[in-house]
Amino acid sequence: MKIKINNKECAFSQGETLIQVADRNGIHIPRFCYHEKLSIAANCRMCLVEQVGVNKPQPACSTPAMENQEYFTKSDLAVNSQKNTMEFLLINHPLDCPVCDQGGMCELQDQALMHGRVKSRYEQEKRVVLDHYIGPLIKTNMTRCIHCTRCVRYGEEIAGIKEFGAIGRGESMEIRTYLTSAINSPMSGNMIDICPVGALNAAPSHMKGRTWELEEVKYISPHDCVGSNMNLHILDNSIFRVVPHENKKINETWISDRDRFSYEAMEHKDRVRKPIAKINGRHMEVEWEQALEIIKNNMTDIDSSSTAGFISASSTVEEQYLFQKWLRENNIFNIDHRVSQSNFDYDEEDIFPKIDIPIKDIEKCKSILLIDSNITYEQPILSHKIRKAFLNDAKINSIHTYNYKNNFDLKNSLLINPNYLAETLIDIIEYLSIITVNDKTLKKFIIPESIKKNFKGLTNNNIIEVSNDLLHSNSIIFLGSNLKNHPDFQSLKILTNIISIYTKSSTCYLGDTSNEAGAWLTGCLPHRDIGNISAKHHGLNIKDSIIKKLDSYIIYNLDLIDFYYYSEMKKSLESAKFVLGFQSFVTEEDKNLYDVILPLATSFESPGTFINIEKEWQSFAQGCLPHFDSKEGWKILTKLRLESGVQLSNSLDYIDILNEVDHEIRNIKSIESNKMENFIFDVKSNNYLTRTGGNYCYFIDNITRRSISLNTVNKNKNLVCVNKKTLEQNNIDLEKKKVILKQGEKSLLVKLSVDENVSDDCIYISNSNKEHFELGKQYQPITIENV
Amino acid sequence: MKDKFNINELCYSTLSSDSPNSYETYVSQGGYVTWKKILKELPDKKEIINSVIESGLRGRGGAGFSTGRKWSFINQDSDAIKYLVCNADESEPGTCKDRDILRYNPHALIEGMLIASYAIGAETAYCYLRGEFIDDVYTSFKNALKDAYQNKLLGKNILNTDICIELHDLIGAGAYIVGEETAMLESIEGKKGFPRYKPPFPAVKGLFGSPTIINNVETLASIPKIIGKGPDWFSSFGTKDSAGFKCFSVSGHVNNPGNFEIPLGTPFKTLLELAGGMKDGKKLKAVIPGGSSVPVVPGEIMLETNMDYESIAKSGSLLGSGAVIIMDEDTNMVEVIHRIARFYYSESCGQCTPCREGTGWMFKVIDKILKGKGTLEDLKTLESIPKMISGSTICALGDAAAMPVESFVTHYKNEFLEYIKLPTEKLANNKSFSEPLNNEFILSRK
Amino acid sequence: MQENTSYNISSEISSKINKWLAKFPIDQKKPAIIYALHLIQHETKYIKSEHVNAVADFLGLKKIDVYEVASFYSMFETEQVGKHTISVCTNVSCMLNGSDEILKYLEDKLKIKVGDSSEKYFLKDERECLAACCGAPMMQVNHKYYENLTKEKIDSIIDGLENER
Ligand SMILES: Cc1cc2nc3c(=O)[nH]c(=O)nc-3n(C[C@H](O)[C@H](O)[C@H](O)COP(=O)(O)O)c2cc1C
Ligand code: SF4
Ligand code: FES
Repeated sequence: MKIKINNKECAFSQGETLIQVADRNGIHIPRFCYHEKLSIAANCRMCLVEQVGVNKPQPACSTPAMENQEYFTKSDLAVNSQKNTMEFLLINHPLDCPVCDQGGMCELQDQALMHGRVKSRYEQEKRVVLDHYIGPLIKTNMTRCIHCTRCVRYGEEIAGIKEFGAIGRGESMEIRTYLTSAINSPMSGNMIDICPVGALNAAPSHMKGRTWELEEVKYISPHDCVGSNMNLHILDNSIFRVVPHENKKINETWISDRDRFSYEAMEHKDRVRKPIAKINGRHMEVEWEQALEIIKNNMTDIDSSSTAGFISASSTVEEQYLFQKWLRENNIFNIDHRVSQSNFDYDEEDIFPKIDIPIKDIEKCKSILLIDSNITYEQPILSHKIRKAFLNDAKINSIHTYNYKNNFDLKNSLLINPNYLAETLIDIIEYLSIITVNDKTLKKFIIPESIKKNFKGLTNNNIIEVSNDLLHSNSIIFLGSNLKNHPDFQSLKILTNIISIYTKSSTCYLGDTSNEAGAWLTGCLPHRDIGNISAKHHGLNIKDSIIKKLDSYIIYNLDLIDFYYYSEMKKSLESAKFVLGFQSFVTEEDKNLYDVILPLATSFESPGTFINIEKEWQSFAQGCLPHFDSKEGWKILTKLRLESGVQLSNSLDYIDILNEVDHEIRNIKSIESNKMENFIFDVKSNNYLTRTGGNYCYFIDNITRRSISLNTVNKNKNLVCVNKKTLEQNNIDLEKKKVILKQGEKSLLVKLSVDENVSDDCIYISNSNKEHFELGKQYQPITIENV
Repeated sequence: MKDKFNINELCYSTLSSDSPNSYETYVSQGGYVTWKKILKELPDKKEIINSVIESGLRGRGGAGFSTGRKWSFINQDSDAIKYLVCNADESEPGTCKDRDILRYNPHALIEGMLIASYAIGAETAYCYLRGEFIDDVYTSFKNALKDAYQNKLLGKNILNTDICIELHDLIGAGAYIVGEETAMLESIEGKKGFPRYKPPFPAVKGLFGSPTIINNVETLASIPKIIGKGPDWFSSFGTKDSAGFKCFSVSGHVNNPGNFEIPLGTPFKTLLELAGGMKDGKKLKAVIPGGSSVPVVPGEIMLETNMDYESIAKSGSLLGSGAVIIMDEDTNMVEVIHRIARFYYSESCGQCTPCREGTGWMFKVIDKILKGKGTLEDLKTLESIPKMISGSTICALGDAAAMPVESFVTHYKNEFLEYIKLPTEKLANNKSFSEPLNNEFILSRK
Repeated sequence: MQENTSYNISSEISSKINKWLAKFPIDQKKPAIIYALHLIQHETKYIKSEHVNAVADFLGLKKIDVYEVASFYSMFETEQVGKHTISVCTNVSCMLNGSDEILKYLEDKLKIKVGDSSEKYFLKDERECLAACCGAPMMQVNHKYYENLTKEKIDSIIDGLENER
């Protein structure tokens, strides 16, 4: 089918609107309310064009293209209509472009220049709108709002949490939240981008710079496992703001608030500014040469079999590659990155965070099962995909230990105690094993006896529904990233795998860091070498390395509270002979545990590569030069390798490293299956009061937990939540509002919130400060007492 | 066209009785016979729709679109749920005809809605009354509906047929815009009354996303007799293109204001006589012939005009909802348009730019002129704003606000000029509206 | 809108709302917002945030959805108003028949300005035409129609309200 726009013939397909056809053909039509990702509102009336034979101007955004029609976007009728709309819009819009953040990238400003009249005839008073505080991330200036309702539709349609509304009517209509509510969506920052004027601004960078002074560098999210693409806007070698970079396969045009605002951490007081060394028992800042000298001396002294190196799974592939290389060259084989994992059974045949289908295909799934995943807050981009599937009528079920807030609706929502997670999955397997008896493709598959032993005859209707839904074609199971420190984590992975075999579902083991895949593929593991193949020399896993109190530890880009074995780790460091840190940040307290700390550039200040959950390699250039006296990880590690006598070219460049990594890893076929033969599952009868909850979504890594704005979003994050029944069973006096928690020797006075979203016999703590980690561990017994 | 006619023959037929709104009165006049006949004979839906097309009935809500043709837009072959909505939001300034149908002849409306539902294949029909009717009018209609249910004229398997039609009363909460048909759908769905952009039209995608027909109270209340007495009976009244009867609400400077149901095409003079002629024997200055949204027509032109769609269009206005507002020689036209402009300013829903910003701008300029602070430049601006709004908004409220302003400035420019030239002291003594309602107050809506 | 504590929807109102919901497709809850607000306002005279919260919770909707509706329709009062609402139609037909004088008379009689409220009376600034143009001038008192007003007629209506307990 064809239409003519400005005498140019354009093909279109049924249902397309005029603006879509024009956009595709490079014909510009001005617009404010239209946004390709949002529903059509047709309220700004900026896109009016002429349709031959129709006497009224037609809005291009809502007019369906009609076979053989002719349209003009620059005829007198069109241009006059657009000018009229501009004049109306400017009636109540302040002319404060010189002080507006949006200046220079403002759609209104651009279009006023292109389509406006030079002088306004309106001379009455302009509308002034009071601003309400809506949280630390978005600074509003609602007098500038042109009521395009993009932000309202974004909330309803994309974020799935309607927070903005249009209140009142007519000229006094205001876009605002309900009363004084703050915005709480984990993807709220995108509203700043889609607002065509300067009504919604990024609070941290508000009034701090002008658009035309910025330099743009593409970057990959360092915080979640999908690798959202974004652009860093650099001003004077600092990050001024972060905006999305379109990637149709991953984040489309959105990024999460975490990715947008975490950069604030760069200037945090914990930042390691210069090399630090313990000299005569005192920590002092030293020059690089001196620090390297100390390291060199120690490295020759240490007993390599009693040394362990731990690296963050948020470090770049290049750093991880060089880190393990440097250690292995020094005969250190106790290498690990699985800091938050508690259990290492079956790790020989373990598989790492992955998704079986492309991220962009999640929206096509017809059935989705979430296993204890707080996905909306922890992996917002994936949650957005699930939301799309939901809007596409997918059935979404969830088995969880807390009724997480999602931006999609659940069909079945099973709230269970974390100690019964594995049993619940076995129930599903039991049902599936019966329902699929006639499936010939499953003939060869045998369920391990230790699972069968736990079959107990089915009753639960929800289980049946959840299982049946999974039998749909195109289903996927997500295993939450929080489960990593669950004592049954390894079993849960295997059980999930069995379910996926029965139901032919895809699976996704979520990660909570940006480059876990990288850490596996580069061999940052005691039992795997580069390329995820079995290691020549097996080392100790992280748990044993910590518990066995080795002589020396090397810690790369990790806070101590990143460790599941936090308190054990502290003790081991205290007794170690030599502790070396490569850190961008260190707390005053942790600093005392190190002998040397090298100031590490953050990934914002270094080029690098992250491998996401679908094994997509994404490299990025250096955003800005390293701040203070810090240096890029690849440079430091290369220097150390040279120092330890490895033969390397002197002119080694970052690109050489990237090429080397690429060459060594990219095409290697790695081990990738759970073997089930030796799987032994035993039901533990854990009927004690259990601590649950994961890390607060803005406390997951050393960067996010230091970004001030993000960490002021939720005032309630420090609460401990318990349901009423559990409180009554433990004789808690609800009047007092505060309780004492005890784990082992430790105790903590906390604010209590009665919360029916918590499962029975559980204390839910969303870890968001050091005390939470000092109290004790996740999934361990805990007691609650009156003050 | 017949020369002789009885006034109030169709929608107001029960007015002659003592208890006009009772079920018994309606039935005694032959009410519900048509509906029962349909239930018995179960005629083809197309047959009914064709009768309505043949009768020449045009929508009485304002736009005057052929009712039968509108119904024929429903795709009868699709098995989608279909809805009928009766627009009882009557709020066009000057209009009060539907209120009297709801109060005095509710059963005609109910029967009309049932026949319409049958014809378009709807099993659910809603009658949406404006919020301000919540007391007397709503109660009267609800009681009638109850009677109809009690007599089993609607509901499940009506009179043992396969036909099921539920008719529900709904109530608004004060918003002129909700009279616009798609805004009404939004309001029924429990949202703000923001009109929807078209296409898609309601007959394709309306209430809750299903095909929906929306008709005015008077339109629907006319249906039973049109079907009962036949389309020819109806079209024997009125003119070729304006068939049948129409209710006119005559208000303003007349001796006997009221609703008069007369054949279309009746001379305006006759209508004015029915309304008792001009109050205090004054001269007719101007007439707004179809509710405040339509252009004003100078008296001398109006006196030569007949009350039908074409004649009024020829005299430069629209028949609209049939609200005839009569103004005598002493009327201050700047004040009148100031009042009308204020109304549209506060009733604009705020959704689309030209209407949200333009209605306020027009009002503020008129207000400035009325306060004696206007300039010739302002008058020029005032002439151009309506042209900027017209045709560029989502719904017709933009046009409704623009047309009166444009026409008042065209026909009574000299009065505006007087205000512009008038020294302020003189203005202060200028009779009734010496102190236009405080502007600041008007700006804050609530 | 005032912020306040909590409000419980009475069982009488809730059963009315549930009946109302039966008019609509089963998954539709929003269509009851307007009606629920009417019922509550009838009791409380104006809508406070706790009422919005209660309606949202009762219907399982977002508060902002309810608030949007409450702020859009002019019959919903979101600021404190007096017991009796008096709305004088001042639109064209009524204006031509002297509604401005009627309004002025009421302002003086009740000693409040249009748009203001005393404890007992709320003289609403009615922008809409109230569809009784042929009975101009007219007013609504608590949504009851009073047409063809004269000063005497107003006196007797107000006296009636005064004598009411
Ligand atoms: C701003 C505006 C207000 C309207 N108000 C009413 C109204 O109060 N009552 C009514 O019946 N139609 C009103 N209409 C017309 C309706 O949109 C619609 O055309 C009518 O209900 C269709 O019914 P009909 O075909 O029977 O006339 C209004 C239209 C507009 C644009
Ligand atoms: S705040 Fe921005 S995005 Fe939202 S309605 Fe106003 S102009 Fe549009
Ligand atoms: S872009 Fe078309 S009306 Fe706004």
